Amino acid sequence: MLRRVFLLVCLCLCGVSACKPRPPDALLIFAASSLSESMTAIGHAFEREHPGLEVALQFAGSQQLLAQVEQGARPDVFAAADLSYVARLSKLGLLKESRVFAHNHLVLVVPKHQTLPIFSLQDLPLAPRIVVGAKEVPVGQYTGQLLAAADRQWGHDFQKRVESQIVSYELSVRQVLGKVLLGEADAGFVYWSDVHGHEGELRVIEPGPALNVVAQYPLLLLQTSTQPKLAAAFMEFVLSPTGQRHLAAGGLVPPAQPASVRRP
Amino acid sequence: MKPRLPLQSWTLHGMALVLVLMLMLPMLALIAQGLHGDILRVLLAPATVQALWLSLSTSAVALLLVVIFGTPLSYLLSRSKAPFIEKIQTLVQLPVVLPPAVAGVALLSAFGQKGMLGPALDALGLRIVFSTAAIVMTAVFVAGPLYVQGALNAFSSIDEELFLVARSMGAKSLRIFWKVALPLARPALVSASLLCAARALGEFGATLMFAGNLPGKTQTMPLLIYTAMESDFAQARTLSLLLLVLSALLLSVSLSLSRKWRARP
Amino acid sequence: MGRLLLNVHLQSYAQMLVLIGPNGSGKSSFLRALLGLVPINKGYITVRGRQLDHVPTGLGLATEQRRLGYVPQSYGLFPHLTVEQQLTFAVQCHFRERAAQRSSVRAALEQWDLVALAGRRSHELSGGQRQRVALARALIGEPLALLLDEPLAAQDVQSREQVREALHSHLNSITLPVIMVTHDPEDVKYWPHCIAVMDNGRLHSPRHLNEVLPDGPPASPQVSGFLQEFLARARRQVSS
Repeated sequence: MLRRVFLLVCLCLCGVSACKPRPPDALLIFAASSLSESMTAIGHAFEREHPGLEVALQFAGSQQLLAQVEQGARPDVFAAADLSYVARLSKLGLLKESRVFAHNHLVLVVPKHQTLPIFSLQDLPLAPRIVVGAKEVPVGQYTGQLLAAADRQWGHDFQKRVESQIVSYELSVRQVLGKVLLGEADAGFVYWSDVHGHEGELRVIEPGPALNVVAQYPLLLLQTSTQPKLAAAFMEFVLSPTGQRHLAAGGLVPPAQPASVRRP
Repeated sequence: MKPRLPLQSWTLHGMALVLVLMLMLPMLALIAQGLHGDILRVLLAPATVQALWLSLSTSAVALLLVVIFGTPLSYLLSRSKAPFIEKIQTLVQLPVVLPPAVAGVALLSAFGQKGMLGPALDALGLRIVFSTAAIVMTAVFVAGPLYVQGALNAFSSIDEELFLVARSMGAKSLRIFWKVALPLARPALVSASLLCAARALGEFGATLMFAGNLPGKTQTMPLLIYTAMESDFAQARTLSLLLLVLSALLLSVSLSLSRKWRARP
Repeated sequence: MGRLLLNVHLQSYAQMLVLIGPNGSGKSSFLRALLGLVPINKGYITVRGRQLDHVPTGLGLATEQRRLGYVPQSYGLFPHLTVEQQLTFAVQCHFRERAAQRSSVRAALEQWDLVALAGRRSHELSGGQRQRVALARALIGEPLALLLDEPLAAQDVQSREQVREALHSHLNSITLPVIMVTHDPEDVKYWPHCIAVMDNGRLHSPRHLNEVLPDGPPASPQVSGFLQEFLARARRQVSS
């Protein structure tokens, strides 16, 4: 009898602890996967400035994170890879405030020891195996924009020729990067910030100023946040010189500067 | 006056009910929400048809390979009395419990450009990653052991005496396998292969890593569902419902066959 | 599993040898050694002039080549084959040509009165019928000898006597040497002439039922106990 009561109490406690509301000193941040390194560093720095605070970061493709929010997830801050998320969150009635906190731009990468003669974007149709992001994720949309612009500039069915060599539409930019690093893809489109840490394994090809596609990253505060003050403080921190330094370290261009192209 | 159920019974029933709800609720919700007006448009879309055909054909090929090569393997494993046979049995069944990511990484490590067989395959001009063949290989890797497991059980449950008697009559090993073991194990083999097919049909994580995602070539049903989830959740639900129905069909046939087999005198 | 020690010196020219002993005494192991399922590490086995094992020269024939008819405890009929198919399976290992196979099967069906049962499966047969099929199948390949492992143990008690009688008449009709292993005293009723006792791996030389006494080193306590009861019941059977 006593054992039964004990078991029941344990079960109840488990249930209760699972439904416990977030402790008062925790912040939940959703961030696009291309922000993994920079946001983690910023998170740690923010924790140091606010002792006792726990910053929980969740990284995934922006679209996946939005899907979770649509299904009921309630982060305090959402750092997306695409300006369209401003409108999307606003449509859901969840947007409180948004500020662009970083820029990124698309680059073409090939494995370092690539034997194919690909030295500029125009050489891309020479690559038999091209990997890009799926149209459902921001990097895929940016790639589409870039190829369309290139097609308008050079003609000769550039976009069609490139698309016929695409072997995979990956569901996150990190997967695209991974395939190029593994040597499975001859070329792929990733963000400039993704190249960081892999300079030795990749050769980066800039699309050129005329064709460059700039990704603007908005930081979004949600109406439903349980920590509005802390969330606002976090946003200020990200936009502060400290935060911007972390972003720059990760290859992201601060919003203050014009979206210029940086040569590697 | 109706007799009261003892407390123990309530506890047991209650605990059982919790798990039943946990398992049934998501599927029931999928059925309830997945049946909406636009269902036909989604089901007949070219992307859906392509993905469905790819899933079914690659699962079928994978199943064929698994049955052809896995049946002799299970038979030999069941008949062998060597001391290390249990270790081999464990190894052969390991891929089933591997997380999909691990399976994907393992396949890339073996057959990728930088993998163990990379240079050899390159020399032959073979690129496995991003090909339809990669889907088949992934399915064989993750679902094959399910068949081997089931076939092993089937062969092990054949009365040892029958093998003995057959040998005393002068029947050689191949003959015993073909004329005694195989016919006796057949119902269980069929049910094991259906289970294997269902698993192959639902394979996602490792396939994404190893085969990529290209409509018409490597975008299987689970991949299409995952891609759809990013943009159109309603479409994802309908496609999930389709796959749920298919899997349920395979599973129920498999279970009824195995029940029939157990009831045999 | 462990090793077992069989100490068997048997030279028998008998038609029918009945091997008795309590469970675990080594009777089944002896059969398995004859069948080639366990290798022997000393001595030799010869059946009707055909050498099956010879340790000094390293000879050891595989089970498939020993040409011994074997009827296991539950008869070992293939559940998925009809009576005719069982016989065909056995004869296919013996004859090559289809015509010879078919005529041999037909002859066996007639000889063992199985023509009416040719299309039935084993679960549709009675105990006695199953025994007939098992014997027919074991003998159709023209073996050198017949081994029976507890032939009546699988029968239920009511039909056992009937089936035992049938077995007696079947075995009378064949001319092969037969070794029957049993722990049931009633089985020696029809064959009291050549009984050998298996005692913890040691086989005592065969004698008539009335003279069965362990010779040489005294029998182990289990066997004496077993023997006393066994012989008492057996002699009662024979005299009745």
